[in-house]
Amino acid sequence: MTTLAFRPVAAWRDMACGTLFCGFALVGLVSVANSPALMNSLGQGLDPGPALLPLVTLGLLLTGGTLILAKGAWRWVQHTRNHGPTIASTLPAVAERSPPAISQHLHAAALLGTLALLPNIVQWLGFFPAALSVATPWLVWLGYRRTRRFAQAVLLGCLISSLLCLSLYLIFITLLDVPL
Amino acid sequence: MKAPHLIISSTLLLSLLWTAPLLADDFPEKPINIVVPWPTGGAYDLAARLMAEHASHTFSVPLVVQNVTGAAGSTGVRHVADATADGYTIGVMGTHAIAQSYMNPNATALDDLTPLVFIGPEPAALAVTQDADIDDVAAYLDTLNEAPGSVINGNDSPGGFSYIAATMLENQFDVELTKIPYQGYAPTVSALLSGEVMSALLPIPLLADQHAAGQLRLLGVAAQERHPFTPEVPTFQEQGYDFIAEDFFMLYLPGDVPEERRNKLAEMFYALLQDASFQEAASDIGLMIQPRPQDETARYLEQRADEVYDILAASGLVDDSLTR
Amino acid sequence: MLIESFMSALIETLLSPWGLLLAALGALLGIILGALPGVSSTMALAILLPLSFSMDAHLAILFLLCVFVASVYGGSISAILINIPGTPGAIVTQLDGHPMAKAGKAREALVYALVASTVGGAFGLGLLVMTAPLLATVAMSFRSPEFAAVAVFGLVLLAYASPGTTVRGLLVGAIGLICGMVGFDTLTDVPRFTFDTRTLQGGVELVPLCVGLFGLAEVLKHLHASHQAAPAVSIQATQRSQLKVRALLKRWKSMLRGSLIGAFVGAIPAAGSAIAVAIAYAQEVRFSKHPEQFGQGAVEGVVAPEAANSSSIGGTMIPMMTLGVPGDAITAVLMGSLLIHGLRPGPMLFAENPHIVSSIYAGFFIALLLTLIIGLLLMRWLPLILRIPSHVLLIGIALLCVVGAYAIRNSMADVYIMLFFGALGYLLHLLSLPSAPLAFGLILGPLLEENLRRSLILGRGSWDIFLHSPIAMSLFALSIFATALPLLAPLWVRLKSDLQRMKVPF
Repeated sequence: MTTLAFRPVAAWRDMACGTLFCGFALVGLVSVANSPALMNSLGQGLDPGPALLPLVTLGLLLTGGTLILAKGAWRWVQHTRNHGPTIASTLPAVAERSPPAISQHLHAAALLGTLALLPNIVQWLGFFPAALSVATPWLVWLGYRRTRRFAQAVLLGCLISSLLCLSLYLIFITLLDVPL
Repeated sequence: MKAPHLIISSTLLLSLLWTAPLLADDFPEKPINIVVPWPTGGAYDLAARLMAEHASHTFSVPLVVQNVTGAAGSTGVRHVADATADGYTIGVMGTHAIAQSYMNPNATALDDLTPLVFIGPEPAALAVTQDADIDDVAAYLDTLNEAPGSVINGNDSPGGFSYIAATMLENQFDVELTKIPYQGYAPTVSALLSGEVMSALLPIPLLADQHAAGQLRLLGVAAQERHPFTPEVPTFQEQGYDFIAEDFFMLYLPGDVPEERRNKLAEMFYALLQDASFQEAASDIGLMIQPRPQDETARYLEQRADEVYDILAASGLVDDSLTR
Repeated sequence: MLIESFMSALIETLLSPWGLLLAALGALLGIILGALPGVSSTMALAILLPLSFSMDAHLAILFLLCVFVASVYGGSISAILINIPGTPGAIVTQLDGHPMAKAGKAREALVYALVASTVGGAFGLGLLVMTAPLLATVAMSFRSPEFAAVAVFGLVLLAYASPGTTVRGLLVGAIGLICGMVGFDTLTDVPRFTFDTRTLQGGVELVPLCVGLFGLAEVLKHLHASHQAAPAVSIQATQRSQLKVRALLKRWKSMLRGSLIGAFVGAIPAAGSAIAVAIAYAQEVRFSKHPEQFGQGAVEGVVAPEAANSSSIGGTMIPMMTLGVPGDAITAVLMGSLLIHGLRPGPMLFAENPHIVSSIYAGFFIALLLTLIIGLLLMRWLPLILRIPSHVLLIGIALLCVVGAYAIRNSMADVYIMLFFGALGYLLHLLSLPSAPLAFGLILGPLLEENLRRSLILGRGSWDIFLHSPIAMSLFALSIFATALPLLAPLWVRLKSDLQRMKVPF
């Protein structure tokens, strides 16, 4: 499976990179084009204007992104046409790693999501309870995955998270006067 | 007859004293935050930190300085405007907040702020490079009248105080400068010292030392009177030109702080600003402290807002949605 | 005469136990605060400033200088151990420092950083003492066209400074450039890429970006595997690893190059340490014989930027002491603190108060020494952080990222920006794209744009202004040379062997 999945991964990666670059460039271009203040500044006076360099950079980004996307697509077509080992050997070894498991992305997304919620909870409950409410479940869950002992994970999780949050609270809010 | 009366009244008084804290608003009872919209180290920040340092004479609680920076000072102003209006969050502002409120639809409108106490003005001086060969204001204006745009002036980006000051100079004397924007005062001073620009209108403490060392030349102080740092530099008025350009510092509150607390704060800060040791420390670093009470502060802000609006409107910098 | 009064000020302070104690306290606090993500040197100074109010002026200067110098080193501790830069100046240190720590060489990396930091700091101080007025005049010949040229040179070098393909590195750098443009345009105050939101009006700050891109992304990468027995960071070798003094000495060239770049870039007003370290790292990669080792834990990648970082302190103090203009945000705070104590750094200080000048220099020197000593003492304990079970460390770092991003400007917008770049960093990792160019683009982009446009205004719209600047032209020539190096190098090798062959017959 891994040896067969080897080439498509490189092709997919190229396409994803291209899409990322193009996506960035397009979002940026839309933003510039929708700002009359920026568009009107082009070609005015001595200052080349606040829109010139963004447009140049975005243009380069779009071109580069499109080329990489095309390269990926071409590789993909090549692969599907004759997915033999001959092509695999001629292409440089870009993909050494097999793609990470889907649950890794789930973990990452879940952590990002909870951290994004954190500021809202802070405004609602205050820093300490909010940090606690984010840290405890995570520590319990990760501890459980480690040891597979639920009771121990809960106990340790609560203990460690309260220590962690307390020290953060003491350092940043009590000592450093951060207005959280 | 008299004795029991006295006892009764004194017990009443005593009990009143005991219960007073429970009944009346016991403000302030926790540290008060002063929000500075600029980074640490600048004049605004120094003024706030000096106030915090000398607060113990007039305040029962500490003052804590917070720097909430970004977006040409409007992030800090918004931070104050959005804070709970309990009187524990106070902001420092100057010309930048007025300018932002007309240029940036996302900035806080002046109506959402309540002026508290005017701290003092920060007058600008006109400085030219040593090799510009201009000795006084008359020569400076002559140069400009002969060849409009021949003087390259360093200033903030539009909306900053030194930009507004330069525009005021242009309007007042009907001349034209070539205005080159820099990011803040320090880069402007170095551009002046390196000779990249020929002149600049900046707060005096930034220029006094270089003037004394002969690295640049101060032509005139744009204020009513001379500055203690540069007693030998005449004002514009002394040279026959009625030109005043000053930035200012003032304290303000979010919109609807209870009147009682507002008055108390105004009183306490006014007292702090009058404090002799504070005034001495402030004059050491070149800050002018000329406190004004609440109502005068509000009037001053209105007047300055009109002035700045006119300048911005004339330069086409007012946002379409914010025109008066 | 200057040396004499410098020595007497030095001895005076060293002999006063109270002053020494205070200085040691300052250095310790500086290292700790510098190591905390979200507390930059600027903030460390601002936080401890009130403590110094009650001190004598010369003790206060000593204390604040110790905090300043120590916090600059402190930033590299968290960069190396947990891949979050403690201060903006440490953003480059982690590119090779953290891989070293991961390979079990955390202690070595920390010591290398500390020694390089001391050497760089001493170098910067030496330049400050010896050549301040001279260097100040040279630095003053850097105007907008020269700045633009520096930025071009930096960008050219950085194009090669990332592992992986150059084109992709450049495109990621372009994203960084765009991110640097978010917020108000520096010259006209027109909002760009703000999508009419308040969140983006403040722009993208370097620290939240780096905390997200390097710190949070690292957490996201390792979160899933945290239950496995092997910890994310191997600690086996940290305890008994031999510190190779010789290995360090061999890098003296890197240290010297880093110090030179740091001191000089620092001396240019408004350039600052982030630019200095970026250029120091980039030239190290570009002109290295083993560029492929960078990013995998190359010692040069730790030593050169750390030396540049510390030597830029001396550099930034040159315009402050001679011209009264702060070189960057950190010196602005230092200058503010001196002002509060009634001292106005600037041209008049030399004339009126020469002994204050020498006590500032002496204080700086003591700060370097104490940072070295306290840093070495702490070294025993620091790698223990890596012994914390990885899942606890990861969640702790995640929370620290949020708090640190907020603390830098007290702004919630920065937290969301940090989270965005955390996600982006994870995505870049999945796509095998380098993330360092993004940070470099953010540093150099605004420098390039602002100065390029300002040069054009100053030159009345004509590019001739660059032709009239010898410094700018030589920097452009260097940039072209760096670009053409891969083409020239084989030619040079052939030429050399030809010459050798020619010699043989004769």
